[in-house]
Amino acid sequence: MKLKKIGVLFVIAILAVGMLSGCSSSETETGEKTQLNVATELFSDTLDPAVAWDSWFVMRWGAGETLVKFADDFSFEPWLAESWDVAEDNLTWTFKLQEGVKFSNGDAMTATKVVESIEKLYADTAVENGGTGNPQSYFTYSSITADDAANTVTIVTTEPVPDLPGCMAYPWMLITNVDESRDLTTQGPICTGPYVIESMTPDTEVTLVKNENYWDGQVPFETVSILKVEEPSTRTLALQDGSADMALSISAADRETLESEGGYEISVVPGSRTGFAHPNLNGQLGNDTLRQAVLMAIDGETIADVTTNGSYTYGYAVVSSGLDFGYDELTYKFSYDPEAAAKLLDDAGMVDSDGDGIRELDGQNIILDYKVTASRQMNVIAEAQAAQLAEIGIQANVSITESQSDVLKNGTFDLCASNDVTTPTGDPAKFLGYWYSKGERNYSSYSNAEYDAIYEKLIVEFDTEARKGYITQLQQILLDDAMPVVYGYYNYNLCSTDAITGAYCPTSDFYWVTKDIKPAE
Amino acid sequence: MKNVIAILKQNPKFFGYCLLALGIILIAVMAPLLAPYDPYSAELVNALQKPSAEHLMGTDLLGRDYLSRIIYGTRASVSSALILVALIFSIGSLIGILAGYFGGWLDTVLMRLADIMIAFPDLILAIAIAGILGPSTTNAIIAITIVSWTRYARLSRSLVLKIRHTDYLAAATLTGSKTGHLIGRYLAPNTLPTLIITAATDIGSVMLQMASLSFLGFGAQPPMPEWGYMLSEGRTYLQSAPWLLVFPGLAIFVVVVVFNLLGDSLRDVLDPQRELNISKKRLFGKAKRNEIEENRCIVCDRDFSGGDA
Repeated sequence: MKLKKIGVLFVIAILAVGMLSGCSSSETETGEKTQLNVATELFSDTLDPAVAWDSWFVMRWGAGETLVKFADDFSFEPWLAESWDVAEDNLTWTFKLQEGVKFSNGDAMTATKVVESIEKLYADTAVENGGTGNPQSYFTYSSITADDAANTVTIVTTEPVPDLPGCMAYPWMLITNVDESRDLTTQGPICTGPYVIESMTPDTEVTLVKNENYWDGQVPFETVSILKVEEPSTRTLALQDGSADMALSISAADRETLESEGGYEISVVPGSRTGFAHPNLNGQLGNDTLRQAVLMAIDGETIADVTTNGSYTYGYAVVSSGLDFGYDELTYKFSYDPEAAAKLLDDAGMVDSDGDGIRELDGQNIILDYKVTASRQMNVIAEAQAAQLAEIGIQANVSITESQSDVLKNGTFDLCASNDVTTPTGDPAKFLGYWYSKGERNYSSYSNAEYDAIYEKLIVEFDTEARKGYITQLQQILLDDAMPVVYGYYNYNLCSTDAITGAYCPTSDFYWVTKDIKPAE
Repeated sequence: MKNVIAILKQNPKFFGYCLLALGIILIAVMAPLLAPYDPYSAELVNALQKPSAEHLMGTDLLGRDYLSRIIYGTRASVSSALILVALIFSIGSLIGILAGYFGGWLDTVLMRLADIMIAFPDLILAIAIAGILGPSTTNAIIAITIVSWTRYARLSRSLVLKIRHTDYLAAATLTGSKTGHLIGRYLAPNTLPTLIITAATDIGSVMLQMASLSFLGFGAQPPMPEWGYMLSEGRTYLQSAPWLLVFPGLAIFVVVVVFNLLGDSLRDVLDPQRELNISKKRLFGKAKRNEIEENRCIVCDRDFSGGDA
């Protein structure tokens, strides 16, 4: 009997040891770290680069690579292409590919493969095939040809596209080994990055393994686990208890805690993201005076510095003050001044005549439907703004939506928050299309003939200095028209523990897991 | 009134809890007098101040006085809980009484409907309903009502079934009482004590359900001060500003405990068994009761002796 009991205890002990050892699978017997654990707030539902913005994740997770890469100042660096040039006609671009690049399945990345990859993306995303039409909005080509002997790809665009290298650096242009039998949604494409996607649970977790055929040096980790951890404080706790080696978007308050504890690498960079709210000019905000008063009632600087605790750097223009696009030359007439805002409304006859604390415009209470997503503290900013608007008699009802794209497309908002990379292709030309009245993304229904004319010049201009000039002018027009409600410029952050080295936050938001992240010595 | 005072005198515990509950309701009613600041007034520069003499419970992210928001939060939390309980109590009881009284197909339809509702996990179903209706306090109340009425329906139906075929009901029917009269005069009053006890003990749990929905973003919307929502707002600051979680959590805890204890002690007061004992005492007195018991024994003896003969 006693023997039996001892036997049972022994089995339990063995099981317990087995379970516990299972928890520390990220280390080998010699104690060397073999798994990189990442905690992130953002995640995708599929692995198909043709679906919406899902390509971003394939690239961020270290699986996909593009021909061109952004440096931190948004200049272009060679990646899978070693060089490129444009012909006299401003339409014919030739990309010379790196030698010796292999896909993760061992196939060589030839010029033909690159052409197939781009053709597949354009076919899958074509609107007539039910796609998003996103890459087509960046550029369209009349021909694309491969020269395997010279290892070059030649693209002839339909219009002059001055920022084509930037377009080629955009994540959906990641080069894949086209295999029609593959289910891209769940298996993902075959790419050239240091890690290969092994399995993925949509919106939850993805596991990657080392790419044995990686072309650009040693791959440091055997496996990479990327876990969606939505709650910012939970991501901090994951870093603190060691279950995550690196985490993105740690709140400013928690960054202070980590800093005081020591043992963490905290990288904060002013990215090219602008947080802002599109005003819907088809609603009450179509009234210029009201829009001006709204801007003047909001203390953007305090909201950025105090409310978001520095997660945003305040600025009034749509393009970040940290980028070299003429911020210092701009003038702004609607700085924070609640008294002046109230006076402006009083003078325009927008007063509270029924005593309910809310002013009226054309006999209707000014009640703004303010839609935000809860990411990047935009909900907090919107609430702070709503509190300030209430002080001058404007009610803003803040409601949180899952994604803003439907809201924007359907026009069911007065203010709709957005947080955009302003330099997706190296400069803000694409981003400024939001206010081009003939564009498809003009969600505000904004229309200004002068803006349109300059915008049309900008998108075909090859001279960098001239482009900067146009971009500055466009920003000034928007500022004068009190468009849109700018929160400021989002500062990316990435925190890592001392178990790893080389984790760092790029300004472009495209590269998270890279071959440069290594276990600490 | 005399009766009420008598009951309170006999049940000091119940009296105590009543006072506490009344205190909570008073805080809700007199919130504008008690709150030191306007709960909506945001002074952005005063964000996340620690509790101090100026702000006893500190300030939140928008620099609003947290104590004032907690006090105003009593309004939202208590009133929505009371409205909810009143709703599920009246809707559920009515459905149950009708099903129990009429029986037949109406009973089958209503009770199968209740079975279907019970088959779903209630909070998850409430989340789904609130999600479809859109987030707001009213919709959260509707969602919880839809999932919670079944408890009262089943309870009142079983109580009605118990007395449906008693002699006094048959007598009432025989003397020409109409259905409405029967339900109003006999069925409802007989089911009420048990239902009221259930309702009183439910206040606490319903409040937690409302707070859960608000925490998840389906109930109260900003800038409304509501404890569940305040917890949700504060959760990002778990490490740096724990008071944002401690105070609303404490408020929910205290109020739920008070209402639960009140419900429990109300059960002790209204317990039908206990009431029966009291009324027996009142009717007969001890001597008379002994006499009855003795007579009963004599009757028994006789029966036995008769058998022998």
